[in-house]
Amino acid sequence: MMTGLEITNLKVGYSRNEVIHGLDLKVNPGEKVALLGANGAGKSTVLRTISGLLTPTEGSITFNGEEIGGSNPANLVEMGVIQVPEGRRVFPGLNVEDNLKVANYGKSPDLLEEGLEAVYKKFPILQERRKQAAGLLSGGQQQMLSLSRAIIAKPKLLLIDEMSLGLAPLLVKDFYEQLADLFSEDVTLLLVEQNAGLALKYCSRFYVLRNGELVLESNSEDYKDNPTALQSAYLGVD
Amino acid sequence: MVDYIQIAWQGLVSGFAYALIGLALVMVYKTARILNFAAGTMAGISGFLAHWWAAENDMPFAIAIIFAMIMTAVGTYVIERLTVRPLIKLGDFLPIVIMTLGVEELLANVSLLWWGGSAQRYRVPGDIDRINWLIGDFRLNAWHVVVAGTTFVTLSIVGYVINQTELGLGMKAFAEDQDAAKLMGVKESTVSIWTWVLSALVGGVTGIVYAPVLFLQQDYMNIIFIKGFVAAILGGFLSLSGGVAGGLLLGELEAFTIKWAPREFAAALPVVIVFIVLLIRPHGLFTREKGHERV
Ligand SMILES: Nc1ncnc2c1ncn2[C@@H]1O[C@H](COP(=O)(O)OP(=O)(O)OP(=O)(O)O)[C@@H](O)[C@H]1O
Ligand SMILES: [Mg+2]
Repeated sequence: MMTGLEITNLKVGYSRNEVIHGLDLKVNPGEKVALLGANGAGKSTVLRTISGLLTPTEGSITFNGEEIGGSNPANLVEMGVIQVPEGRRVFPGLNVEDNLKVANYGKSPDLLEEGLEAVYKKFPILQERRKQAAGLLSGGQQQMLSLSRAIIAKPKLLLIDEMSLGLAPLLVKDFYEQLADLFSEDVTLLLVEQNAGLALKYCSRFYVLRNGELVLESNSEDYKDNPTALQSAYLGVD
Repeated sequence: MVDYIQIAWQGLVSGFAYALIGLALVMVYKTARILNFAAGTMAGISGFLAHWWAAENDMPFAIAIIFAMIMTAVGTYVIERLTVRPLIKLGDFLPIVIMTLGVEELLANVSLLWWGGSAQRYRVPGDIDRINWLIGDFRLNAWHVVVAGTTFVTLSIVGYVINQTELGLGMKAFAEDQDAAKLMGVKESTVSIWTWVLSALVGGVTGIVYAPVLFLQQDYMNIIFIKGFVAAILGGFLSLSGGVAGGLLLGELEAFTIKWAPREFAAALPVVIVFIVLLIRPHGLFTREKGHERV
């Protein structure tokens, strides 16, 4: 049953500290949806929960009809739930190619060959640097590597957390323009961003999170020319 | 000149033990961020098991060792599942370390009950630990050659597992960034169990090959454990090869100190070295300071 991602009444936090207070969110199969919000709103927490790094205290998360809340991250990866984490999180001491190999963990070496070829074609610089420690790459190159790991992992549900973090605006724009080219059309995407302008260009729908609660849910069309309205939704000023 | 070669060789022979235990400790610390205080006692039990099967149950020497290694792996599996696993979920460093101390205490008492407090000789086929060759003035003990060979083989196997297998890649990824590794499908429980088992096997090999050198007694691996710990610190505790190098270095320092200084001083040497290293290079002698920053 292809129903995409469905989150209902999700509550989750750290230790006894609840951060998300009952979130409802839906991403249809193949849809590109943005999750926006200011610093500390809880966006990353939502993604970490979908990926299985955090266990919901309440509510449900289903992907294509199957309950996935609290699943083991490795099982989710097997199902095709792939996250590109905030801050890129490459393995700094492993070389570029080993980083990519990890993304194929537990899968056949043939798939890796295929994946490497695809990735190196898209980012030739990674091939050039494939024996170099990933920690020595520039921020932009690390983001390429992080995205490449996701490409190799063959996502069905892709979760991208603040691709823009710490990168030059022009570079970020490049990445966004490439996204459609990097992942197949039918990948379901939930994209976390602070930079609403870019996200809205790429996503057809968006949610705004403030202090762990949804404050706005809308089509991107309606806000493309009205970023100030969005700004107030972020910050809670009317 | 021969004198120096003799001392250097002596240093290597002790250094191999420190290197192997250092490696076993670093392995678990690096991947799981756990200090395993039971490593020495666990290694000693491997030695006892091999001895027990060979000497008291008349099993052939090699088979007894294989049995001991299998038991080491199984026992470690059980220890990891029962004591480490439940605590990992809490995500705290201290409880697990304290748990390993508890395991150490428990195993030490079990081995005391089983084998008693007396020292026993671990017999090897042909008593080759009593064979000494003279090459000119250089005296070479046959068992020490076995020790060196075993160390070499063990290090090669570990190197192979870490660098050439998918499991090793998972361990390295996990060591670098646990969450990122999980997000790539590396299973925490698999990595944890194999890291513990591999580490215990390295320790077990050490316990067995050093049993003829040290005599079997209840806590015969404790001193090696302490020096393995120093080796790990010298290597920065996060580098496998650093731990090995640290062990060899410590062995040499010790051997040459005994030559030139009173024995009592040699005994204090590890502590002195750790003190100096921590003061001057807290990240270890063989690892560079972290050159990268994470956002
Ligand atoms: N590991 C953690 N332990 C405890 N609290 C945490 C942890 N990570 C995040 N938090 C808290 O949860 C809240 C939400 O954090 P989260 O990282 O989800 O925000 P975010 O929307 O992703 O912010 P940003 O845009 O800065 O990345 C914050 O108040 C934060 O302090
Ligand atoms: Mg975040």
